[in-house]
Amino acid sequence: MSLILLVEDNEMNRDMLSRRLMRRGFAVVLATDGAQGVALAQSERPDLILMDMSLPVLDGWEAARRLKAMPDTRTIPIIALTAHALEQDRAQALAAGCDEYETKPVDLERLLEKIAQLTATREVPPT
Amino acid sequence: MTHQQYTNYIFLPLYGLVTVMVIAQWLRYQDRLRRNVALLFLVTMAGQAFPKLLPAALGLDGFSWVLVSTAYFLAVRSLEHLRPIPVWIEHASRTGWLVLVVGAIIDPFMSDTYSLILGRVIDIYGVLAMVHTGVVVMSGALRTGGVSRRRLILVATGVTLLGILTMVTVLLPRTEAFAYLGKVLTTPILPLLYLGLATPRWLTNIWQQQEFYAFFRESGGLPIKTRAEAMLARLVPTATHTVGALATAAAMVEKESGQLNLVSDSRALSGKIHVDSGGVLYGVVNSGQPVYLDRIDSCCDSVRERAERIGARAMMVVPIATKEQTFGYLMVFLRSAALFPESDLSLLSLMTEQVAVALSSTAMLKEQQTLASRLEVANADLEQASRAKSAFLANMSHELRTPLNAIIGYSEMLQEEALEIGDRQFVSDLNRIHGAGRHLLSLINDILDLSKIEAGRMELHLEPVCIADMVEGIVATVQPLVEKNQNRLVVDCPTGSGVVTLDLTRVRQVLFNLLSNAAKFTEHGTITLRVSQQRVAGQPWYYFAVTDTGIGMTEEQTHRIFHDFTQADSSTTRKYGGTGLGLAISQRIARLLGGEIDVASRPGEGSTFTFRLPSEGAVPVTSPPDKAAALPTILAIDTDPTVRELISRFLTRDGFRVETATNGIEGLRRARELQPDLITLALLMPILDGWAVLKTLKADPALKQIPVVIISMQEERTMGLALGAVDYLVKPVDWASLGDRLRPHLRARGHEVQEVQL
Repeated sequence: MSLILLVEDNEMNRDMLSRRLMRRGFAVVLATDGAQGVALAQSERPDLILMDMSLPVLDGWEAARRLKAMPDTRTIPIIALTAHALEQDRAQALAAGCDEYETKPVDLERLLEKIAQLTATREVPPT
Repeated sequence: MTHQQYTNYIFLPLYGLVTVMVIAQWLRYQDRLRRNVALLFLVTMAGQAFPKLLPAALGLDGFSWVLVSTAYFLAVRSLEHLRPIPVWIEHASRTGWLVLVVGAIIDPFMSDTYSLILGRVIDIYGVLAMVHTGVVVMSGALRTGGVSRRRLILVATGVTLLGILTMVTVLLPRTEAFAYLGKVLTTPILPLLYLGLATPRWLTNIWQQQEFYAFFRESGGLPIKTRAEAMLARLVPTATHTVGALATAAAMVEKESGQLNLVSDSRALSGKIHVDSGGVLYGVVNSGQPVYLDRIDSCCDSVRERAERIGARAMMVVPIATKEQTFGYLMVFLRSAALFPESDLSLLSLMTEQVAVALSSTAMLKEQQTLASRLEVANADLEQASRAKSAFLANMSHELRTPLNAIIGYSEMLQEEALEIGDRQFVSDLNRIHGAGRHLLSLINDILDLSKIEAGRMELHLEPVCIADMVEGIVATVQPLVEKNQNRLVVDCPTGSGVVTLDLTRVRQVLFNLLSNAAKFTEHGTITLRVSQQRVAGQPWYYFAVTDTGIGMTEEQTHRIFHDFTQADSSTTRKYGGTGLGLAISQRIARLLGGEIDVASRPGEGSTFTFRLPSEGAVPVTSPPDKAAALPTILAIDTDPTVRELISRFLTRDGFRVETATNGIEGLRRARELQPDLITLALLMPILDGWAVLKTLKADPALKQIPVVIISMQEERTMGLALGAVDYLVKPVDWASLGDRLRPHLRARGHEVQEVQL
């Protein structure tokens, strides 16, 4: 069973997405800001991180950069979540080190596909 | 013709006619000069007509002495202002005249010898008087211009000719024949004197026009902007010259203060004055009529004081005005009373009027320019407002998405749960909530698209696209929509339509919009998508034609549908739903891509929307210009000149092109300009420190691809890398190996072989 770290400051979105993921059989840990997200990523070592980009304390881009800069969290795939639909948000998220990008409101099926893809590729390389 | 006949039929009638006209002129203008001239002609005419009244001893000479001495006496009095006449001459002329008159009166009682001597004295006096008058008038003529000059030349010529004639008479024997000859020669001189001294209106007009054209011929070619200024600058000296005045001042009205600003050809006149009520200037200001003052006593103090400063005793004031507006007053200062003030005033009025016209057109031009610049500002404000609106819409739609996210998400979740429980009623209700949420989301997406396009923030992502694959993908997506209204979709897309560079997402969006519209407005019909390549005006184009057999539109409706929030008509909105944004967005995207959407439709018969796209080259690709130099460029940002120097020296040696910046702000500017292959960045910098520069670089889409290497004394490697730097060097740095250290990080470029990454 994959463990997903969901970093999201909006209570409703966090609740909803976490419940839906749990219904689909994922284990979910929750963080409400970027700093907490980075800390939990280090302590929990999730299989994948879903990260909102506009977060308090440490924003999503910054958190992603830090996670990708640390050797122990570098390999964890990150999917950026943002309410913006602008192309530059996507480019910015990818530049910050995120592996994928999803616009909110989340299309659950598409998100699940992306999660499956990223977690699968992660397991393939021999480490 | 005998002497008598000539005198009776030609000389006397002509003389009489001129005398009558001169008297008429005097009665009309009632000035001193005309009075004197009229008296002169009256006296001499009397002498000619009734020679018997004259002392017999004088005989025919009676005419010449009265004419000459009186003319001279009057001339000296009238012409004194042309040139200051020494007092002794004035006295001499008066005494001479008295002596001659007295001498003539006592002549009958004296001997013949006396008469002979008196005759000689008259002759000498006459010749001297004529020569002097001629010289004075001619010199006056040469110092003035305009109509006055012409009049004075006529007078001087006439007087001089008379002088010559008198001299000839003196030298010739006094016979009947020579007296006859003298009269014949005098005849043409009379009209000359008449024209000069009492110029008729028609001649004045002709002369004025000539002057006037000479004055304005040069101004005509000047540009409107500077014409008025140039004309005003020429008006002042021209007025002085024309009138033969001491100086002229143009008193221009200052809008703010209401004062008059004097622009003059004499420094003593310039400055600013007020118009005091009661003065003559005040009268001109109020009446708008030109005025001649033979004394300056009635002027306001500020003007009189100036007039006295330059020794003026008379002046003319002419308004510089159009019917609508007064720009100022032309003040011409004269040494003494004018000879022909009415000629001068009317000529000056003609000139000032034209200058005023030029001034008013300049003023209008200025006003126009002010208006234009105000419009520009207003336009900029509007654009700003429009951008603000777009930004607001973008933010707003973001704010709307968050709660919508919850609505869609929770309704989806509940749907799943209701399905598990098996409550079909809930499922259908939740389905509606979910559908409404999705619909609202698509509207917000449309508004966001539109505001992005309007704000100029719609970015294109060009990529090579296989047309056939793209069409296949769109057809698969749109198929369910087409089938919803029992329609049939026909696709005519020749395979091998080729690969073209375009923004796939946006082209798909447009085609999807056209096809879904067709599906929406058609029932039990056929929708056709036809793809073709055509050459129009030498340019290759792709044509995507979407034809339906639906409700169609009137021609008037086809014009409206591309506007924001507009559907064919409002009832359409009620029946078919939608915002009316789809086509507006599609059209803008089409244009952004260098193409266009056209529509042809007939009510009840269906519509054809044609979306054409340039198939090569027409789409501008925004990428930084390729560097001419093959050398990789490094931008070194550091406040320390030694460090800049070291970096510059060693990296240049190692085959880099090095540019430097002395602070963070300059660094960012140079980074934008240069698009370097790598940036070295110091941390401790005033105003904008290295961290801020790094953040800005990484947040800017145009700059974030540039690798940044921090060179600092601080040990903050983790932070630096976390913020997006590719490497972190702590000073002191091994400068000699800096190039090798940087090379692996260089930005990947087409022409640059990238080495192994760290």
